[in-house]
Amino acid sequence: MLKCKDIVDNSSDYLDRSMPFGKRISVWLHIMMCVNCRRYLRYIQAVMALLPTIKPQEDDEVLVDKIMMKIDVDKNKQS
Amino acid sequence: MDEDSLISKALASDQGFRDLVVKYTPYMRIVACAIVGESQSADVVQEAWVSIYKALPTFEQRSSLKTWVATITANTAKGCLRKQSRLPLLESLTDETTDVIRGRLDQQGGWSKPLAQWHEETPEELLSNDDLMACIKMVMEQLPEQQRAALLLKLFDGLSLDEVCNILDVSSSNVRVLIHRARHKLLEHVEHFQVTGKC
Repeated sequence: MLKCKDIVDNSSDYLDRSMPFGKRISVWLHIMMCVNCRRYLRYIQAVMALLPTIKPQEDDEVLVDKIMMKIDVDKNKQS
Repeated sequence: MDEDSLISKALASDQGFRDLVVKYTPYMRIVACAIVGESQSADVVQEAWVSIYKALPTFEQRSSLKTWVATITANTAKGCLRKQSRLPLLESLTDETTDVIRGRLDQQGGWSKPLAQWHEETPEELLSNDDLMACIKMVMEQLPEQQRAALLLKLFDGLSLDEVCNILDVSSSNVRVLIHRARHKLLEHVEHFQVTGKC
């Protein structure tokens, strides 16, 4: 029987689905019975779901213009 | 448009090269942001594009164009870190003491201090809290570089662990450790915010 510590130590493998099937079942059995581990895994998933909304601030179009200007400057230096 | 056509057009005209820049800049931005943080990512991407412009005529297509631009961006970003004498690997991998989530377990392996019930529990509810999102953004910026890099590359790009390993020059087991610790740190900060209302 897994302990809560095993769930905490192996949560990334469980969430990333990189855990062998047998161990995955053991984790599932544990979280069915343990409200604290169930909450821990649910909250980690919720926090991870937020991260793709955090994007770099500068508009990419502005950056593209800067890049093309920098390349022009570099070309002119070489010629 | 396939890669061959993109490359041919990029080599043939400025507009073709601009199309390439438009296509890959958002992706490179994420790679750079993952390694050097947001504040320096735009500079790194600009430098990387200058290198790509110079090297494109000799690109042999041994890897995909996407992997190639990611590698150049990652190398430029790492060069930027080296110039600033920042040594991310050592800092990130020896950062074991700060796994506060693990510190909530007792010696028998059970929870001594389980996570509290949060006021906002779903991603949608969490997302609607601007102060919390600002806090998460700040915590992301403060993560040790390689923890942040591993987490972002895996999350945003959906890169495989092997690809993340190649970009960051660390082993697969270390990438797993980095991602695990980064997740725990973010979780602990959101927990703190939910309990205290402060970042």
